[in-house]
Amino acid sequence: MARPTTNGLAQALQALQIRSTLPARPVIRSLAQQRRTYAIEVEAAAQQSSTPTPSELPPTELAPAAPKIEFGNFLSRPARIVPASPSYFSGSPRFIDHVLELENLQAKYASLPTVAASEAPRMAWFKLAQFRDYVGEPVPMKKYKILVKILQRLNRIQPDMVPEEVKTTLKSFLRPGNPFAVEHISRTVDENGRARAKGKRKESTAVVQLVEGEGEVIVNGKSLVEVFQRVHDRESALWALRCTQRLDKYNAWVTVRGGGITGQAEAITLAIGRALMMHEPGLKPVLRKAGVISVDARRVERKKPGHVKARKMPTWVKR
Amino acid sequence: MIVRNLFMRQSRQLIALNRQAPVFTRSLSTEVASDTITQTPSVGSAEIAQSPVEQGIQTTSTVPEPRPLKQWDALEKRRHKFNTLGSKVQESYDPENVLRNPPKPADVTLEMLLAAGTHMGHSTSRWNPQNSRYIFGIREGIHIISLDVTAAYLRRAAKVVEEVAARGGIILFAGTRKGQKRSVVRAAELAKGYHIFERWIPGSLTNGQQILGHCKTKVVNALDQELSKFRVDLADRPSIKPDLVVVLNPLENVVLLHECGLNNVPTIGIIDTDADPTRVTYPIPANDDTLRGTNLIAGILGRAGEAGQARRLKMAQEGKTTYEPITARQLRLDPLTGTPPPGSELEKSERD
Amino acid sequence: MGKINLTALRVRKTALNQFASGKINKLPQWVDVVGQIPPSEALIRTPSPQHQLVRQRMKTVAGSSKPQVVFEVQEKPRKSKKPSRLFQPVELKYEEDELRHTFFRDHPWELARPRVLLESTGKDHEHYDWSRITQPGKRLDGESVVQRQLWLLNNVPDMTKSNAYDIARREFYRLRLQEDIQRRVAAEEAEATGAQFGPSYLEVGMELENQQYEKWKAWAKTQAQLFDQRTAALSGAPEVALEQQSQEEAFAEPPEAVTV
Repeated sequence: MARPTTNGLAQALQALQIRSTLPARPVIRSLAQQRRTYAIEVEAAAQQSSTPTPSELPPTELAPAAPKIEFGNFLSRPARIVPASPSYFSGSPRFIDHVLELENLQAKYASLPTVAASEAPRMAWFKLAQFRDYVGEPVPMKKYKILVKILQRLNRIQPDMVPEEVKTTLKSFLRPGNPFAVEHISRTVDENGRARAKGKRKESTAVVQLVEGEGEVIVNGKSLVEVFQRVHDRESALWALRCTQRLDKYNAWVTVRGGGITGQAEAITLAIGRALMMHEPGLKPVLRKAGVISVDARRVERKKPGHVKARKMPTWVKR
Repeated sequence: MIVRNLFMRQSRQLIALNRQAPVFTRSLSTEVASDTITQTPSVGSAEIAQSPVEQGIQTTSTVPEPRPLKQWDALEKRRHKFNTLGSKVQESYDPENVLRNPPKPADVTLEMLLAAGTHMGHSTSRWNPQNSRYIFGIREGIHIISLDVTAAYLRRAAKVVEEVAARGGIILFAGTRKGQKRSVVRAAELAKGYHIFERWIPGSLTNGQQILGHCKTKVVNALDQELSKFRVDLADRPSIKPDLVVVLNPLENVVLLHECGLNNVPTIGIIDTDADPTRVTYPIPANDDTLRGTNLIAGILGRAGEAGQARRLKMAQEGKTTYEPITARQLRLDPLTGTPPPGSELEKSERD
Repeated sequence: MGKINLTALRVRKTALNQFASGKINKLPQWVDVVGQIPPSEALIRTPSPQHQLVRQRMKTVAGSSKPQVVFEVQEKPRKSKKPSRLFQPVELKYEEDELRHTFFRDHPWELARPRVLLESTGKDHEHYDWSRITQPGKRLDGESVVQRQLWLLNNVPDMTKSNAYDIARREFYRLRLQEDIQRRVAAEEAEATGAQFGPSYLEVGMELENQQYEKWKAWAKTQAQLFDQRTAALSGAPEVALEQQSQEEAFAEPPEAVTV
């Protein structure tokens, strides 16, 4: 255990002289350099390099003869390398600094009145991947959620009372572009009376052009019967027209690609349903009930290694 | 319960208790009795905590609801006006106070430590016998830590923090328990140190290049101003290691203390009766489970660091440093080989 | 030293050794500091502080006219001679402990009253004067009685424990009664001026109980209906019908009356 000594370096010197088998001379010299208290007097000390170091001078001599410091030189001289942020050792200093800054803001403006979450202006914060790029650190989802929570609380401050400081800070967490400014364009029937709509099911994609007519349906240049041999498929392809009793009122010109028979038939269902809604928006509740405008987003689950199919395990064999 | 509240107000207890009586909204409400039209807040209106006084005014008047901004201003004005009224609260306990204005190491008293609950250890069955010299006695099945020892060790630790700060050392405050965040950040802010309040990433010292390599560093002069011209030389430097680590919960930070041991970094830690005092260089025997206690200790150490930093900057104003500053030449040298990088001006000048 | 890890305590020595051997080319800044303020000797065991139970009493001693303050020290408890017990901390005991135990044994409901445990400065005791039982800034509670009794024992000549207990308790009961009356009067005054206190605890409890009864009634009704339906479905079979009939004759009460 270290005993109290006035100068640890003296002890080090002693230890060195007693124990060290190394050539001691260079080390002793370096220790002697260390013995100075490093009190640097700029310029003056440099000029009088032959004079003893300031620490060896008696203090009475040092005090009155305080030399002029040339600050320009002293200030441009490096002294230490230090971390740029006080949260350096956390491994994600930029993120932690952001969180602390936001928490400070929240505490500072806690007394301001707030509006309900639904009344607050809609803000598109960074998505996690964007935020990771922004701070340049691997931030886990859980921690980012905490940050977003603070952002949302700040955003709930009464809109006409938001301080400028809060405004600028919140702005820096918005993702580029304003996704909430994009206006939804409602599709309508074009000047030739065609309604064009797309539908997808499994791997198939169908594009339908629906015009008022006598009930003719052409799929990929062929008649419906040629394409779908099963009655069930034909029924399901035209289910939107059938359940609204519009089979003889519209002509459909369909292009369908990919997938199998069932997928193609049901992709056409969706497309025709959507196209029909353009002609007659009032049919929406009927079509919704008939289930022709609900998208079936299911896709084939991928096969996994170690499984026979997506989830099936190989049968267990003894030995 | 409500009845009791009112009784509390009326009883002589409150005359003896020199604190302001809270206004009991529910017991004083006149909602049922009054026939006046009550105003229901509109959907878009701000949620402002209204005092019962204001409610009373609003129920009788039929003026339209003012804008939230005006309402809030009025509320603030009224609060400001009423603040001076009533009895004066003396010696009230404010939990924020120890964060806002922590005491200096010289102001530490045993009463202060006692009020913060630093004397309470763990159950006698959980003790570490190495702590026996810090323990005053047994009471109700728990060990009581001797407060004079706590105070002495706390002052010693504060002195260490101050001296290291005065020599420009890097001080890391670590408190990873729930609720220690603010005190740790505040202590680091005072001592111009560094803080960690979430999990210590194992290997931050022993494998620093991997874990802290991307974190930015800077070159500063003796007055702590950044010198941007040396920014280029900071690439490929090994990560920075602290010169002193203060741990508020050493039991949970075994890894940090182990890494400090491997890297030969002195440590200060709050040692409860169930902790191992040899894990840290400077133990502070105290209760590490009370937030008020750890906040106090962190605040005191932060203040000590503040004094040390002030001393260092004062010396720097006079053009002196208490430590050996890094030279521009050392900065320019390759950190791995210790030689000037090939093709640089430094190499050319040395060759000449 | 076996299991004990002394790395943390030997940082300075290690740094000096590393520097001497050339492992590090610069001594850390804290080496001087740790040298000047060395870590404490943590591994030396010291005998733990011993605590004695001291009693202060005023007694009239034969020979002097005035009562004198006498300190009675309880005999030391027999310490274990075992080496393993030598350094173990000792139990802290005070005279109040006994008084406190007696009071709260006699008045267990005093423990159910709310109590402020927080101390602001730790110097609250400086403002207390136990020559009277009420203190500024302190609510009257069991602790007041204990402290008052202790003061009486310490400062009144020839005071016995039971006597002091009686005196302190009498003062306590008087003040409690006074508080009760104040409370009641305040409540009456408030009610007279239009305050509404809402339902009492008893009323709230009764209301909750009633709700449970209502729930049970609804449940029992559906159960009874189900039972009826089941028996009706089976009534096609002659034996069951006969049985049911005989049952109905036996229990003249209608099933609804049973459920309600």
